This record gives sequence, structure tokens and C-alpha cells, in this order.
Amino acid sequence: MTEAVRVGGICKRFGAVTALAEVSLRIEAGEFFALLGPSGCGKSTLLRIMAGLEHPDQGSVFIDGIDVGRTPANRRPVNMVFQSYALFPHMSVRSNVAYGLRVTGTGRAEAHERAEAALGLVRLTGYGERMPHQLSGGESQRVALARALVKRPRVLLLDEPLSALDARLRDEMRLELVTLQKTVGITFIIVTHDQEEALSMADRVAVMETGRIRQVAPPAELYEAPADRFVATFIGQVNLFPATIGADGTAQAHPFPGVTARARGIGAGRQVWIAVRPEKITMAPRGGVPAGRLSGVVEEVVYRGDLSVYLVRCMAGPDGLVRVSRANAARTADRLPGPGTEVVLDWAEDCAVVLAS
Amino acid sequence: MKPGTGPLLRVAGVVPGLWLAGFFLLPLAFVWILSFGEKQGLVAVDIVWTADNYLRALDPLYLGILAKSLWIAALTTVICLATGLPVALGIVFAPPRWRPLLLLLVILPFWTNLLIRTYALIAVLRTRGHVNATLGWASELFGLPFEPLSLLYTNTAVVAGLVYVHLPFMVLPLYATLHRLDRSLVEAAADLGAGHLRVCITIILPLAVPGIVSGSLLVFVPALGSYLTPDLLGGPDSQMIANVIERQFKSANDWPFGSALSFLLMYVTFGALALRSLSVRRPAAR
Repeated sequence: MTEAVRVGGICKRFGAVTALAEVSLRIEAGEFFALLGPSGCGKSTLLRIMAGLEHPDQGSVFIDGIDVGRTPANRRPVNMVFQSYALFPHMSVRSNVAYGLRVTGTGRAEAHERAEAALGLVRLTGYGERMPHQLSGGESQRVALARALVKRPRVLLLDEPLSALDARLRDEMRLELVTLQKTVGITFIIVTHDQEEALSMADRVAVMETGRIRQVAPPAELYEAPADRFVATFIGQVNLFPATIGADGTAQAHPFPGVTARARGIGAGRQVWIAVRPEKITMAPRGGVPAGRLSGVVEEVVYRGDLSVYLVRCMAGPDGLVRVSRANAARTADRLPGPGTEVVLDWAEDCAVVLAS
Repeated sequence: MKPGTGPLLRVAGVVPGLWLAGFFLLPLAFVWILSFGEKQGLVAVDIVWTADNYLRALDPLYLGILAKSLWIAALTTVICLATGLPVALGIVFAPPRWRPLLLLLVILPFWTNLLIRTYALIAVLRTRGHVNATLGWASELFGLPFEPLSLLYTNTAVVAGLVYVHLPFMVLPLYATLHRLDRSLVEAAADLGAGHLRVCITIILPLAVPGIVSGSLLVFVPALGSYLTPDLLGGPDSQMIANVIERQFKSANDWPFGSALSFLLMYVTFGALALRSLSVRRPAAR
């Protein structure tokens, strides 16, 4: 694989605020890459540095193996889809899409032809004459995509592209973006705060927090083998048990003798966390079945249609609640365990993950 | 609306309404009636509903002065626009903490009396003024012969004075419009490959049109009716329509004719306002 973008040791401060601290990242050509993190984690700043709209205090940016540190935004082989779409309000859709070609010397006829082709690519054939204020949110989004793609960039940068759309449209656009990326074969780098969006679209995801990259991994690895507590809690739900590494290298949760996990490469005596995802836990009424790893009483049931979430009290205090989610496989809701049911909880040994920090 | 505020607002509106009627509309109506009168004696005017004053105002002599006033006001507007636009852009794209200071510098001249500012300009432009002193010093430095320029009491001096006085009226509305402009549009244009100049011409300028229109109007209308600047900085041939009007009311003591000229100026101004409302309506119709 060849690299599309490589950033090394990027630092960026805004006054007293550190937006990026020593960020290094390599993104492969043809990849659908996501920068995921809570707001203010520096993900948008990193994207804008790649686009040349922001300049790093330190560090280098390579696009296609070429150092673009001194190349202004208008000469970089990347294009951006802005969060607000940033369609030029005084130009028709066609002029908007053709703009990037016209300012770089393409003739009017060819520019318009290519603009129409790009509009076709995003399924907006025949929209060329409209003005931006006549478009819906989804249509504006597609025009912004067409306007960036018509330049045939090496890398397409998307800054929270779906955040302004309503939920149903967002789901549609997710699929469409993935399909589009496969069609055009351009490297996509998307910035998002929505973990579901990142997991469902990207080939690889970088999770960021306060200006640092916490983990870069494919979605499944990110979810099943999070690198630390931040990644584990930011992506999906997780039960965390404080634990200590024993002499035999096994992590043992403190008040729960049944909660153990194999730790690799962490010294004995270290304080760690054992993480278990709610859907990995099986739940059965007490008695009849062998004792599980934990036992407790169902305190609350949250019905969500496709699944139900059970909060099981295994111990008094705020840390004594364990979250369990079970698919509602049976149709009748009255067969689900209700509040007050005494249950035992169990999970496969390899479902528990040890987090060192 | 909270109960009780309605009547209060109505009462609050009455006072300015009375003020406007008593001190603006009534005198205006008086002048309008006067413009159809005939001068009888030193102070006596007969209202005979004649159009003679207006016909006299259409004399080539006065139309010429009106045309010249229009030309000077238009030139002032264009120069204000050409200088005000870079200034406004500079303030908008300056670091945020510099903006209040820069805006203050633009507004600062307002805090000084117009008369004083105009006299200051005389000191700058006269034969032994600062401009000539600087030019003389510079040519001496390069060993060139120097003849002081006669800058004062010319049309150039009038235009220079009008530009100086009216520039803030252009900069402020331009700033207001450009400040509201979505910064991501500029970034998008740059991202798509446009250089600085290209971004200015294709994105910023078209979107600044509302500001350009209101700024131009704010400069053009008062410049057209300006009296003090041509009076103090202009020569014998650079009088503008307001100077002629002043002379009818004072030295010529011909109030009916002065009134007619005043209303002629007002109709021209209405014309400019009508043009503006057309230009504002167009984008909505598009």
C-alpha cells in the first residue's frame, strides 16, 4: 500500500489551549479513514492542517509523499467538504461545482461538462440551474461533495459532513458516502464525533482526545480490543471493574472474586481495569443454572425495541451496577426478567479485556 | 408582550412623532410652498403657485452646477469605495483583538468638529502646507528642482476634502457586511484553488454588494448636498449646488428660488434612493 497522507509530530496551540500535541499519523491511499473524538479534541484542527487552512506550530505534512508544509491551501491536491457545506450563495449549483475548475484555468465548456458529470455522480442530474438557497440539507451536502470531487483530489477531507442532517437522511448518506468512495477510489478522511458513524463507514479509525491520538485501528479491533479506558468508554458501552494483577499474571477484580482476566505484559501488583461489554454478558435466573461470575438483582430495565438493557445490582454503592444488554429474541415482553429478579451473570473468558490505563 | 408596555410604547412614539412633524415635516412643507412663490420685496413673498422658480432652476447655468455636483459626489463615492474596501477587508481579517482599535481609528475623526477638520486640511494642502513641504524636502533630497503645487482652492481639494470627511460612512457599512460573511466561504474558495485576488473578486466582492450599496449611498447623498467643504477648500469654479442654494437664501435674498433649487436637489436624491431599492430587490427576485 502507498501512503496518501502522513503527518509527523504536529503541534498546534491556540493561545493557552493546546489543540494538538505531537500528533503523528499515516493514512494509506484509497482508505476510508475516520478521525473520531469528542468536541475540542483537535480532530477538526488536524483536518484543517492537512487542507492547509491552518498552520501547525511544529511538525510536517506529507501528501503523496511530498512535503506540503509550505504549500498554500489553494495548491494542495486535497479538497474539503465543509461542515456548513459553504456553498457560494450567489452562484448556481453548476457554477459552484465548476468553480474549482474555472479558477484553475479550465475552459467554461469543459468545466460545465465535468460539473454536470460530478452532479450525476451524486445523483443531482438536472440541478445545475438551481441556487443554493433552493436546496434541502441533503442536496446541499451532495453539491458540496460534487464540488470537491470534481477537482479529482488525491484526498477528500470531510469535516463533520453529516452532522447537519436529520437522523434518517444521515443513515442514507452514510451508505452513499461509502459507495461513493469505492466508486471514485479517492482517499476519504472524515472527521466525526459520532462513534456509530466512524465504526460503520471507516476502514480505520483514529480515536483522539485532548490533542492526542489514543488508538488507530479498524472498527472491530477498536471496539473489541480498546487500548485504554478512554477508547473503551467513548466507543459503545462498557462495564469497568477495578482490578489488580496477581503474581500469576491474572487480573483480579477487587470486590468480585468471579471477575478475572488474563493480562499480558503487565507487571504483578499493577492497578488495572477489567472491561466487559454489556452484550457479551449472559444473564439467567438464579438457581437451576451453575453459579456465574456475578450474581445480583435486576434494578432497572430499559426497553429499546431490538434489545433491552438491564442494570443489575451486584453490590451496594455506585460501582455495584452492572450493565447487561440482551437481544429481544422472543416476541413476548413478559418473558423478560423484570425488576427484582435475582440473576446470575456470566461471560466467556476472552470477553474480558484488561486495560492498563 | 407584557401587559402595560403597549400603551407605554404608544406614548413613547408620540413625542418623537410630534418632534418630527413640528421640526422637520412642517418646515419642509413651508419650503415646498415657498418654492411656488414670487419674490415681492425685501422680505415679502407672494404664494402665487407659479412654476417659474423650477423653470429658472432648469436653466443650463444651474443644471451645469447640478451636473458638476453629481460628478463630484460620484467621484467622491468611487474614491471612498476604492479606499474603503481594502480598509474594511483589512479590519475584518485583522486579529480579533486589534479590531476594536482599528474601528476606533476609523471613527475617531467623527469626534472632531467638521470645521476644524476642514481647516486642518487647509493647513495640509496650502502652498506652504505639509504636502508641499514634504514634496520639497523629498526633491531637495534627490537634488531635483521643485515648484510648490497649488493644491488648495481647486476641484481636487474639494474631492480630497469630501473623501476625507465621508470615508467612515463607507468603511462602517462595508465592515458590517464583510464581518457577517461566512468565513468558510473564503476558505472553500481557497481550498478549491483560488488565489487571494481571485477569492476577493469572485466571492467577497459579490457578497459585499449590500454593503457597497449602502456605503455608496451614505457617501453620495451627503456629498451631493455638501456645503462647507466646497466653500472652504474650493476655488471660484468649484461651487456645488448647496453653495448656490445658500446664496439664494442669504446674499440674493430670493427664498422662492432657493426653495425650488432645494427641492430639485431632493428629487435627485430620491432618484438615488430609488436606484438603491431596485438593487436591493433584485437578488430576492432572482
